[in-house]
Amino acid sequence: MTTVATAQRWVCEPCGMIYDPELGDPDGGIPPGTPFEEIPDTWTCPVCGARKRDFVPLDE
Amino acid sequence: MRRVDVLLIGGGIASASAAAELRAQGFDGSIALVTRELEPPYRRPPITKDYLQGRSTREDAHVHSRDWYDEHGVELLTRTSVMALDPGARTVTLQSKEELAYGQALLATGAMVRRLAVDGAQLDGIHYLRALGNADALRRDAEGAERVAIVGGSYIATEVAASLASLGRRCTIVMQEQVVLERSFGAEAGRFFHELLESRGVEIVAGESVAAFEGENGRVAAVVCEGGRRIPADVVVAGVGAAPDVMLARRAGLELGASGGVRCDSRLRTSADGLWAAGDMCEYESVLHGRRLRIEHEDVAAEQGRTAARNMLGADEPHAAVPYFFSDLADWASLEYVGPADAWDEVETRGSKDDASFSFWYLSGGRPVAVLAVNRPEDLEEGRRALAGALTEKAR
Repeated sequence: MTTVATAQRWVCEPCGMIYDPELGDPDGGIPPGTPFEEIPDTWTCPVCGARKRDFVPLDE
Repeated sequence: MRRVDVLLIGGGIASASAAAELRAQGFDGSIALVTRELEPPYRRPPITKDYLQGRSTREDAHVHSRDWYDEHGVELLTRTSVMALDPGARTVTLQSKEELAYGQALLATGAMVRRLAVDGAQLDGIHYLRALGNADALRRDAEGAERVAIVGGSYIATEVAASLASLGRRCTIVMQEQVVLERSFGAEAGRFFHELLESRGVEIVAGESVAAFEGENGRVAAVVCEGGRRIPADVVVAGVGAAPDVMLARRAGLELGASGGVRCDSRLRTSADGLWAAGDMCEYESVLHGRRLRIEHEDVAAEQGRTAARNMLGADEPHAAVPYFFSDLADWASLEYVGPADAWDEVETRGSKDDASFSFWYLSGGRPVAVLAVNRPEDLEEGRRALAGALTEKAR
């Protein structure tokens, strides 16, 4: 189950940036392997600065 | 595995102009352009200017219409990120997990906003601007706002302040600089724009850094400066610079330069064969300037896309266009600039700031290294020619 949750990727609606848990956002203080749900609400999109709630789950 | 002759990675003007140049040069191989955005490649300057003011549409910002890509045999893949790049194998992995092989590729992933890491940065009402969608969100939010604070003192901040002030919002710029645009043009030239903004009702708080944002019920209510000053605001725009988007390039093991961009030679070739770079994330060896440059501006990205395209076809030419910049403060003033100068020892002025028609000539050892022009297109063109000449001489 953990594997499934971790693999869920999310997309930033304004700019299309994909948050991939495998990659994380090291520049934003999010280490690789961090599921989206565990990112703090203070985090913003590395590309366009949109907030965490502007991301939606990527259909795949 | 599917293969394309040329793969263009990125949804900005660098990719779009590369595609057009390839076709203009008669290239008839297959081209695919991949962008993570929903739109076809678009121009970003309107995001802080007419698009933000609601005076132009998304389609107006498109570099080419959607139909253009079909008509020119360019496969356009929107809302598609490249997740991995293997320059040795010349393959990419798309977000769909599909692998795509390429003959040559252009990396043009642009820049990313610099994020403010201060308390309260997560509050509602704090905006950054990079994509059209960010401008939509800001415009909606600013409609009901009384006071807008803009953090930063460069192009983005001054353009946004002018755009929102022209829509009737009460705007305050908070910046570390003493004078707006001084980092690019020096304090003397910057003062013209500084005073212009103030004369149009934009308040400027100079020499201050943001310490935190204060909120009420989850929404921003004020900007708090390091010096303790508190600036009430129900919308905040952070225009504090950008960093090259090298997330993909770094994972691919490409060599990066001192500016953080992808390191390229004078031909815009990266450290990998068959892989070129253009635009905000391209750090190139400028034969004109005799130094390495990375420039975040539209015209430079467009020119670099064209240079890279010609070099893909074997032209083997250095990128030698004189870098050109422009900025509009609402319909109050437009500036144009050729350069960029990293240092100068003398400034000559032509025209008059009082008439809002002037140019600043930045000289180093008596030679022009940059020209800033306001309402003096003829000076700008003269400056462009002078720079091309002087810089070329210097490069010898």
